[in-house]
Amino acid sequence: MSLWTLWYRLTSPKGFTYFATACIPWLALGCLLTLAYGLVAGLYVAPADYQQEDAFRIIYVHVPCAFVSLLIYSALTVAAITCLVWRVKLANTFVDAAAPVGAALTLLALVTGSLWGKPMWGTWWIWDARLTSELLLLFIYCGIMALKNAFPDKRQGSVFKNAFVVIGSVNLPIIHYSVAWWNTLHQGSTFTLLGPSKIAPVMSQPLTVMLVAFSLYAALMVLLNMRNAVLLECQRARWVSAWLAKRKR
Amino acid sequence: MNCFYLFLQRDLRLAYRDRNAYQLAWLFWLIMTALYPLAIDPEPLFLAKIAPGVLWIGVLLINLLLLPKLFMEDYQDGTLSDMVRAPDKLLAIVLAKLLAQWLASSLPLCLIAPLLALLLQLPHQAYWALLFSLLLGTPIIGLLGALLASLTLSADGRQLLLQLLFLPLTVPVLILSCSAIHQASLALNYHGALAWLGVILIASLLLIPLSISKLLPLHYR
Repeated sequence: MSLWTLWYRLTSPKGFTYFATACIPWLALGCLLTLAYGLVAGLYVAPADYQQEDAFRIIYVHVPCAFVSLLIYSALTVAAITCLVWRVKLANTFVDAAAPVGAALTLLALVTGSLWGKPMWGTWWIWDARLTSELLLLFIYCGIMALKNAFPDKRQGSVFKNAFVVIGSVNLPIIHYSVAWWNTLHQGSTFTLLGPSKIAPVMSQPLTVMLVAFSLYAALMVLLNMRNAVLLECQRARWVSAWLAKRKR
Repeated sequence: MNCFYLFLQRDLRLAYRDRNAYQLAWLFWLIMTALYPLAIDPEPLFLAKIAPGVLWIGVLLINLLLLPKLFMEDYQDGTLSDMVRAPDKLLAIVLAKLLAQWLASSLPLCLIAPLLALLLQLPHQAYWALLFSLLLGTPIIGLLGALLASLTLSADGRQLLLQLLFLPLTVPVLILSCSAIHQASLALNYHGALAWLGVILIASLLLIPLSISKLLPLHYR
């Protein structure tokens, strides 16, 4: 079987549904395991910070949320271009399914950040570069979700929505740098995926695991959303009733 | 080229006939600016500090108000569907429309701006920065707005949707322009911010008209 055949099979509604159904339990299991390990290692095993004491532990939720919110946006960009250039319909389903997940994680990153900011900076909100660009990211996610439902003709509308995703991805770095140039209070990155981190291994290892856990969680949510959308769209197809009958048994 | 001039002429003439709307937009800028001292604080030093932001947010809102004029009327009376039928001329038409829109809506703002700056007690050394930031910034805002207007042409609830899409994307221009004016008012060097505005302007001039000419026909598929 050539790679192209595999690709066509995976991106067809039926093939995708079966593929997603096979993946979902494993993703859920992986997510639960990494989440359990990361939470225990982060909240109990890791020592308290010398300065922030136990309050620093919110890093294990805050950083993964922010990381995955950006990760999803980059995935959205790739999917939007795929949809615009090669007209892969499943890529459009991905954009629709992933945008709300990305928006939710962006919101969570903002909320956990402000919960962390209150004891450390003494304020719930500060007009700092990273907070501001994360807030603008939330607005852009909202724009994508609003565009999804704005057009009377769904097929036509998907082109414009995907075009907006691409426009946003061109603008996001500009926004990020202009805002960073404008004002910065947020601490610099203490954690880098490649190269030495400025954080002790006993603290950084749970963080890595939590990054994986949140990525798996996001993948799980996106796959569930996508499968629902595909099933809803093809609800009259014969394979859907066959698939449902098999699930009921 | 002929096509470009024809459409420039046409759109300018249409804008002239519709001058009432543009004048109301400028009045809106004046009134909005006059409300800030009343609402916050008429103290001159404070006003000088918020002046760049007040003026520039006004510019953004005026652009947002006038955005639907750009393609909407042509879309509704069917002219646009004829324009779209000439794909090789479409880029020239789009460029002409964009230039006409800028001449009609934003160039007058550059002329009124010093007056409003006077009301807001902007220090006199910041006037050139204000003018240059407007001259470089308003075309970017106009191009960006035109791109989003062409994107949402056939959408329901266009006006409210446009503000959600448009305003977050204008943040870089807002930051760069306001900081240029602010630095100039402190008698600091402000050329860096203006140079960045110029970079963004060139990039958007290269990319945006082309994208608009590709997006417009998609509303008729």
